[in-house]
Amino acid sequence: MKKIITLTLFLAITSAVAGGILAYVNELTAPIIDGMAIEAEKENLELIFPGADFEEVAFEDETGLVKGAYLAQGQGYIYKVEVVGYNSSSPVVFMIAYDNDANNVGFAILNQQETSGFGSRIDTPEFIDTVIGTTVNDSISTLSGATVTTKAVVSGINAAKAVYAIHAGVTVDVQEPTEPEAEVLTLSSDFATDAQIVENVDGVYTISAKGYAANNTVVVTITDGIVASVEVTEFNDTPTIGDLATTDEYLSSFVGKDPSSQVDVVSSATLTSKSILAAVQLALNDANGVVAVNLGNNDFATNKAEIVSSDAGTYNVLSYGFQANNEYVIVIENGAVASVVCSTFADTVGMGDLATTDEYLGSMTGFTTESSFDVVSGATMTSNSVLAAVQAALNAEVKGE
Amino acid sequence: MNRKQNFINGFIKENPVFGLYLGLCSALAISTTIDNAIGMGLCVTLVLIFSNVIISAMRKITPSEIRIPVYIVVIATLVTCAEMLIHAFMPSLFTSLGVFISLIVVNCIILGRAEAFASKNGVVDAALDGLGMGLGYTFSLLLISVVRELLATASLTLSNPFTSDIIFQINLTSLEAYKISLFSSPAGAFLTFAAFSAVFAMIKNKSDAKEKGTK
Repeated sequence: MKKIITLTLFLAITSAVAGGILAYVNELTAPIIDGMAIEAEKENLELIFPGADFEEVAFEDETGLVKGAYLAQGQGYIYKVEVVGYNSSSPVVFMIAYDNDANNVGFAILNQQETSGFGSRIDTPEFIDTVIGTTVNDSISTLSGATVTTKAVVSGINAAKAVYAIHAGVTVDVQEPTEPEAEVLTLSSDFATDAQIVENVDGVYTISAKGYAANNTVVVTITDGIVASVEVTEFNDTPTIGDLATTDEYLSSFVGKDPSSQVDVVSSATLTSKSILAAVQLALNDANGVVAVNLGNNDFATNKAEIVSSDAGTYNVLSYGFQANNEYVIVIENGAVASVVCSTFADTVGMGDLATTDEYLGSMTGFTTESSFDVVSGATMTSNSVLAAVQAALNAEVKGE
Repeated sequence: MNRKQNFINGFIKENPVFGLYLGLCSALAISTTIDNAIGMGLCVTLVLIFSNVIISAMRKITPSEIRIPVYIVVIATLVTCAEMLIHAFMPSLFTSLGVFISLIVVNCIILGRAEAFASKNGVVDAALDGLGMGLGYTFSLLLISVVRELLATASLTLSNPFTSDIIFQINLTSLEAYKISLFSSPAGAFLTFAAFSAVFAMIKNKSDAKEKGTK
């Protein structure tokens, strides 16, 4: 018994002495370590308030997203926030600052490795400019095509706002992110997605279409030129994100659609829904006999398109339609069509002019020599004359002919 | 003479890494650059000297039943102090060594020397043993890291841990094209370690045979 007490006492005394030494060393080094933390962050803080005096401030944050809070003397508060967007292996780190009047005066992304061209758009003025200048009570919109990343960033901003409310002693009405209106596309538009027909058995098309990560297999059934059913048989995109576009509800919304119908793109699952749209489009085009032809290679020999005059990308082109030459003014910018106007129409009124509507001519905006096109049925000759003119202008611009 | 022998033993015959195979975990993990090797080595040396001295000084009053927990408390305190001091005064070393500083606590060299030597010898001997063993460990790390840094980056850089200024730098630009990045990964550490162990074993065998011969 006595032995046990002696041993316990000895160990207790040793530990107490050790604790004392540790406390002393900690007291000695803690201020230096804290000072370095500010010093290390100073470069980032200066991004927003150059030349200010900074001081680290204590904060409480339920969400755990806010990693640091700093007071810039007389100017406002800066928060360092870390959120996980789409790329779970590398968080998005950003600084956000509110001045003393609750206005956002700074937003800078320090680190992001989101998908290039999609989530990475948070680091472009497209997103940054929607944040700077807002007040704490404003809602911030997400970006379509980058919904997952922007939602995460907005939730981080909201966490920072909640902390700011305590620091500045104001009440903040934290708003959920507003989603942009669902993108609505016509089934005949260009989805810029690779899709290929694997099999076609009596109008039941098996199509492999590229989504976000890999190819998805979509089975589209076409009856009498319209969609009868759409089914995704193989899904290779991100679970819980891409599969928002493979719900029965979304797929059944395609039933009864024809090539001119409009369909929604599912926000947060833009790429997967476009893979499905591209598959449906391909099946419809194949069933309706529309052959997508590459504009650069197609031979419009009968139209005898001829450039009358050109001036810095603006081309006047004569192109033979059904019975006479139509004249078009085509503007090409950066190798793509900027506008097409029919300046003289000489074909049949009520027939050929189906192919010179603003809508049809407008659909050519953005065309390059690689684009494929639709021919307007009932106005084949006239629409060929438009296409021939566009082709001639593009070739002249690109090849310098 | 005996003291000198003890001290020198730590380098070749009883080299903790290549001779006794102690402390391999951290030795292999941090020996990517000579900066890390020297920083880690000196840190271990200091902790080892202090722990040996303290344990040796306490050896008469420490009850033998609880000596291991007492050693652990002493070592852990020293390592934590070292960690805080490095964090405060050598931030760049702190970032590059990371968790391996706190892992010095479980480095078997330290507990091993405390149990095998310091608890049975006087303070001065214990301090010398700590210095010898610590420098032996530093020497081993330096050997591995020179080979690894040279092969992996075709250059050697030594910088001042207090200010991060570069003290000297050798660039073997002619070997730039023959870099082997494998050597910056753990596999390279094992290869280097195995080669050095073989050399040390050879030296040890030779000197053992000589001693037998003279007897």
